[in-house]
Amino acid sequence: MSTPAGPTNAELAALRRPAAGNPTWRAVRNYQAINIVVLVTLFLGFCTGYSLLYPDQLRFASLGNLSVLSQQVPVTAIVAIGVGLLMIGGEFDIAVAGTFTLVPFVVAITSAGSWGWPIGVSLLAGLAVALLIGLMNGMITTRLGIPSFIATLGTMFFMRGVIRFVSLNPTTKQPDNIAFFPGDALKALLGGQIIGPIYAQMLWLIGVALIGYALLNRHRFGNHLLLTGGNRDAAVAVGVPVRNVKVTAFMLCAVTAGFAGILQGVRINQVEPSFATISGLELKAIAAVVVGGTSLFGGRGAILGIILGAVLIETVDNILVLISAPETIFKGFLGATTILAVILNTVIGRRARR
Amino acid sequence: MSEAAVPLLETSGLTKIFGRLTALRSQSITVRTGEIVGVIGPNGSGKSTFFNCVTGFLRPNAGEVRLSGQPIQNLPPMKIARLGIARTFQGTRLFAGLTVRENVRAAAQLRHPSSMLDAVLGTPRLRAVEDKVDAMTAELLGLVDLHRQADRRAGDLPYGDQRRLELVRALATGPRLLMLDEPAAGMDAAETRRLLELISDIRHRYKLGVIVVEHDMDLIMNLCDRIQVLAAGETVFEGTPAAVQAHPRVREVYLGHE
Ligand SMILES: Nc1ncnc2c1ncn2[C@@H]1O[C@H](COP(=O)(O)OP(=O)(O)O)[C@@H](O)[C@H]1O
Ligand SMILES: [Mg+2]
Repeated sequence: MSTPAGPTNAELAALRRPAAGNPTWRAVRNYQAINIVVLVTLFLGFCTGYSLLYPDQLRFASLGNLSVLSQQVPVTAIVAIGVGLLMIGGEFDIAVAGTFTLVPFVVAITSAGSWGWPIGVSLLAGLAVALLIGLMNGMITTRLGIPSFIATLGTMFFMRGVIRFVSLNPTTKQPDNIAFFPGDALKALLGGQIIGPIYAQMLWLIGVALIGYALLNRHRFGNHLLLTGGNRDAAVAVGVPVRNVKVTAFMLCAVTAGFAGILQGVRINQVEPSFATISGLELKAIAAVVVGGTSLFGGRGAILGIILGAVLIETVDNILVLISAPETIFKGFLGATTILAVILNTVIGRRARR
Repeated sequence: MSEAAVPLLETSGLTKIFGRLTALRSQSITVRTGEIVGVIGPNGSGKSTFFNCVTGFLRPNAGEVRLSGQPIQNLPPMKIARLGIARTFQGTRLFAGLTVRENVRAAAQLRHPSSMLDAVLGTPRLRAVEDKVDAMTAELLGLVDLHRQADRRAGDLPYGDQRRLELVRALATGPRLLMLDEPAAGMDAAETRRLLELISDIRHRYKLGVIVVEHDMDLIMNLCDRIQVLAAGETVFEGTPAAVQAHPRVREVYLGHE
């Protein structure tokens, strides 16, 4: 007869209302890595101030440098959004540098020379290749039960091989850069200057971010992704098709990496085969994602944090270039930042919640 | 109430073998809507294996599982969940990083899909769906007195609260059959008493069949309409709580000195 004492009507009503505040802002506040983001925002403020006071010593806030940043940050951020969504679902893609190179490679080759496909068709071919790479990564991981870290390592080497094979110059025995001139219209659309230091890439980032945000926070897919990464068994028990969710996330990740590769190829008018090998793009993306508060173990994360993480990583890279620091310092920074962010996300986050 | 011709859940000849160990041998059970059936037995007697075979987390080596007459033993666990079997796990499996409210919402949303267009545009239709999910979440959290903890991280709750949360999360999927694996583990006597009242209340409120695996004999004897006793994968006995308590072999294998 007696049931547990239930809530009062007022309590029920309060419960029905979403928690106070804007959900995005609440999500930002809940980021365990918010400390790093704040810290580095201060650092950026310092750099900006310093470069305004002493422009001869640090050309950070110059129009030219801001233009470079506004073309470079979106490329990394778009890759990071894909990697981040996948990581929220509990998986890794460390083949993004390969996808990033192979997709524009396919577009550049099929749209020029003896192939001569219309650029629209070539872009569709690029999309198809990206989807296929994602599908392959997803299937190897979910159907064969191979950890995605290993599975995507395999596809990365596979893509490197394909890229090297196709681009190898028989006389120099070195891969050639592939020219990429997809026409003025596409160049303007994907890389045109909007105003001042703002370029089209920025708008594409906003577009990708909005889609990512809608997917993650408003759509059932995002719900499924968070649950799959949060606790696989529990997700299955509440009816989440975890395998399909993961395969879809792998495909999304490959498409964002391929798209970012096209943005980059259009900007520099060529595709560089060596990028697949030496860029460390996967490290950059993972660093951006975890610095932005996404759990390395899946189950939590948000788009805004990922973008802030990418801004941070790219800006530090930029400053290191400006002060002519050796390139290895940046790789070291990436590694150290990633580990620090993971520690902050888990250890300090746990303590703070007590 | 007239007995439905087709039972809600019916297993027959259900067998699961791990290497040389037969964890479950030719098990059969029938559960009807509104009924609470207990499954008891010593540790390692195959109770969780039975749960896993019914919910598709394990593929049985032989036998049939029928939900309202439909064979489901070859379906993936996600499909079985969608057909209306909800379960909890021995030892909780929560979305520890999500809040209490989000845990329940996540499960409730599975019955209330929204399209991508609605999601991007934030249409009134999306609002309506979200309102429905919010209302259901509120109702369920109220049911287990977790409404004041709605915005706490699920992983930070005391163990007993985690178990109750897992129970209402299972309910939020809108099941026909609810399977609870040791729901009272880690609860004190008062908590167990409230759990008993909760389970017997929800079976009518949500028109459920319920299967409970539990070591707490007080809970089992006072809650269940029927009890099946397993030992080393074999069904030893099945009957009412009174019959189980009276049965000499059951006392021997399970109730011990009692
Ligand atoms: N996945 C598995 N692989 C191998 N053996 C298992 C597995 N799951 C359970 N078992 C074994 O099957 C037997 C029954 O286990 P279980 O169903 O968990 O028992 P109970 O829930 O009744 O305590 C035990 O001996 C256990 O060790
Ligand atoms: Mg068990």
